[in-house]
Amino acid sequence: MASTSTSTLSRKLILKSSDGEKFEVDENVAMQSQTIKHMIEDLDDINSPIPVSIVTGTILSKVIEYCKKHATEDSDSDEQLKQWDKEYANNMDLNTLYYLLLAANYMEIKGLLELITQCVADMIKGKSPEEIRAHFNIKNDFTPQEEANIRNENPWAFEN
Amino acid sequence: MSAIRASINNRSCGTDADRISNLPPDLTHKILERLPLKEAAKTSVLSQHWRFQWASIPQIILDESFCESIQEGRNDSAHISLIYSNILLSHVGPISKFVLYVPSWFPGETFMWIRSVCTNDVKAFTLVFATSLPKNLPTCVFSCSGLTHLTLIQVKLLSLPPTFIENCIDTKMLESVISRCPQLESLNLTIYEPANLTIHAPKLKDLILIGYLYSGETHMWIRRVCANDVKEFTLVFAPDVQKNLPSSDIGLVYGNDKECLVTGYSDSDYAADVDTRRSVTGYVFTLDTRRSVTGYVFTLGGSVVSKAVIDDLHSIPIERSYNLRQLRKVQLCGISGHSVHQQLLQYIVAHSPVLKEMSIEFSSKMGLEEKKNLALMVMGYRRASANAEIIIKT
Repeated sequence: MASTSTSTLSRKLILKSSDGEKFEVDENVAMQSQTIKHMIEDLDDINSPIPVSIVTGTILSKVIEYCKKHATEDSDSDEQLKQWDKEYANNMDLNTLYYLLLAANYMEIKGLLELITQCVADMIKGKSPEEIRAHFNIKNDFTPQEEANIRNENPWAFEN
Repeated sequence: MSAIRASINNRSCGTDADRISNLPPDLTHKILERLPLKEAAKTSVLSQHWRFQWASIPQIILDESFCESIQEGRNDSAHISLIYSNILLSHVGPISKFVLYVPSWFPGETFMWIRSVCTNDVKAFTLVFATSLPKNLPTCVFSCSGLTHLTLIQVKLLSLPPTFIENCIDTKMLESVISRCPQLESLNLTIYEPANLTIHAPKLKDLILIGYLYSGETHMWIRRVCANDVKEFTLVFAPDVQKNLPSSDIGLVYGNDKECLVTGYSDSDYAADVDTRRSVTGYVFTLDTRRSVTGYVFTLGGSVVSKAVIDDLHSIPIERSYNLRQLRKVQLCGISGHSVHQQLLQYIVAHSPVLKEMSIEFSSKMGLEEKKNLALMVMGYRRASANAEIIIKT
């Protein structure tokens, strides 16, 4: 991967995923991650790839997509950006959301973390416990009696 | 290594895996925090893993919509009481945010709930009494040492003896009240009498002082702002004091923090080092002094730039050689076309090499033509900073 650090406009950084995939990104895009920001501060040579050790290439490319969009937010109105966020999150399957959530948490990208947690919260909202279990493939390991007891502890939570 | 990676990939390809139950606890909490309490509590029945997750998120929001959602259309105080108590009792771990809404028809006491949360080192507490007859603030709130945000709606503070309010003006008492709030971040004071006040608040970030100086004794000295974190300081004098031109007294007061330059009024005691300060909020004001004080102190630098008693306001004692090396932002209000004001403006723009923004609000007493002329003049001043933006508000 050729370094383009000679560019005077914006420095380029190379992020390396856990499976060795490399991504060249503008510094202001990568800096949305507090973790990377701190890493750069400690780094002597910014031309060497920065390892993002627990994030795979597939997920990292999605993270970068988000960061790119939000690095140039001046071009869009808040409304447009919100719409973009919504579509971005809605296009993910549960697996991707899960790994994206871990990545956003590890990389400390506040906006992305908020977006994904809200997206998951919205999936829970308004559903019955049975529907939530089905949606997330959660295995019910209670006996019917145990479940009834828990419902009786906080009956207000299960009324509509 | 590659084998492990392959197995991870395989797992992530599976569609029937339960991902959400494998999240780290703090992420699970972040998701549940985004749900109304009722929805979050519902997850207790999903599986063993989810049994107590809802009860360990660091917030309890018993707000109006929650109250409505559980009251089943009847005003049953025993029912509400039981639910509130159950929620607080079943909570595990710290509570940093607590919202308590008490409906108007609720007859019982609330201090038990508040006390149980206050002992839990709550940081943000909101108490709402939805009643036309506000209840007293439970005293246990005062022993909440970790509290940083307190919102009280329709809450009556302690019933104070009538003399307390008068005594409150006593500077010593005010000083002692403020110094006993070590977590205080924002302070808004309205002062009706000249005060000799020392504010000691190590965590203070915003300080707003509003002074009403109607009498001939106009000197309000704020000796020292012992607030190392003050980022914003605003001092506003009532517009009425500008009535009696031409006697004039102008000055700037400084805080002792590198991020701010506080303003208002000064004597030579405030000759703090200003080199490192980054912003100025300047309210240039004139005071009604029946005495023949026309001199003023103008401290803009590490030492008193200039101090003089002058009889004629058309000459201004500013040390022209002093530079405001760190000054970035200036906000000036109540500027009239008075020559003293013109010279102050000229001085600031000419001596601030890194100035970014200076906003000037003209006095409402100025005519349109006067404003226009002054604006044109200000725009023509020589600027030490190439990036200085001058904003004129009329």
